[in-house]
Formats: sequence, structure tokens, C-alpha cells
Amino acid sequence: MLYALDLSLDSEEGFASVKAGLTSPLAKFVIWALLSALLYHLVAGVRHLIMDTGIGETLEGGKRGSQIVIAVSVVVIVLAGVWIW
Amino acid sequence: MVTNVTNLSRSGLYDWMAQRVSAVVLAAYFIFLIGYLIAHPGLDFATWHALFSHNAMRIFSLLALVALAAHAWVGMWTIATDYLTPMALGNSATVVRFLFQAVCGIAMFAYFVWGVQILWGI
Repeated sequence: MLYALDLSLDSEEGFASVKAGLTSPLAKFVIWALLSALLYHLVAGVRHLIMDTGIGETLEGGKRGSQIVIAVSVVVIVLAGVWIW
Repeated sequence: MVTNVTNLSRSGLYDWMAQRVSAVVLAAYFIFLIGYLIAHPGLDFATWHALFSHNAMRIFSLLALVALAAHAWVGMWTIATDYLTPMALGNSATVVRFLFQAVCGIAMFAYFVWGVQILWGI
């Protein structure tokens, strides 16, 4: 990621090469996988922050929270897939 | 006597707070970046380079980088102390855990330096 950032900011050619590199299906899949992991981590992280305020700390609350996290994550990950492809 | 020497700070509470604060910073940075990319479908070099030339973006990126370093350190420390335990690895656990954390620390520091070089090398 840092390498791509470095290359993309270097020059017009660098930017073009990164852009070209990202069009291959394999690159798209890797990006999508990384993005999915990060999106799930983000959603679950937000849930933890909510739990820090005391909401959803009961057994039922925790269970429902997890289900919500999975549901939201699936939706967002699918959207990311659509956006990438 | 609890001997915690490999965590980020002297107290667990500080680590706990550092992880939450860094998480919020990272979430803000990530959402901004994704929003920016979605809002600029036909992104070209000029606008992309211009974005990173604004000092505000550089500072925000550096802040995110520092937050990432802290977040990753506390995160990996939590994982290491949960799983690389004497119960799992016997008496070599401490050595394995120390090496694991040293590798994580060095990798994180390398990324940090590389990131700063990119941000200020433009």
C-alpha cells in the first residue's frame, strides 16, 4: 500500500503505472480482500466503542450486537466489491 | 508482582485509551479517504498530488500514521499476551513472545519512517 502510494505520488508515469496495476483481476481481488478485512474491523471496532459506553453489554445485547456487526459488514463488503469491480 | 514491560505505556488504562483514541483517528482518516476516492471517480495525478500537497492532509496523514503505530502496537501486544503463553508454548513462551513483538515493533517503525518519507518527500 505504501509502495503504491509512494509510486503514485512520484510522477505522472508512477500514477499511471499504479492505476494500470490495479486494473488486473488479481489486484482487484487482493484490494477487495484487504478492504473487506478493514471494513469488518471498522464495524466491529465501532461496536466496541459503543459497548464502551455501556450499551449492549448484556448477553442478549452482545448477541444482537454481533449479529448487527455481521449484517452491516456483509452489506458494506458487498458494496466495496461492487465499487471495485 | 505484575511485570508488564512490553506494553505501550506504564499502565493498562493508558493503553486502553490510546487504542480507542487511535481507533477514532484511524476511522476518521479511512472514511475521509474512501469518501474522497468515491467522490473523485476519474482521479488523475494532478488532483491526487494536490491533495497530498496540502499541509492539512499531510498532518492528518502523519497523525493517522502515528495512530496506526500505537493502535497496532497495543493490538499486537494484546494478541501476543493472549496467545503466546506458557500454557500454549511451555517455558519458551516468553522468548517467542518477545521476538514476535520485536518483529512487530520493527516492522511498524519501518512503515512509519517510510510513510513520513513519502509524505514529506513530495
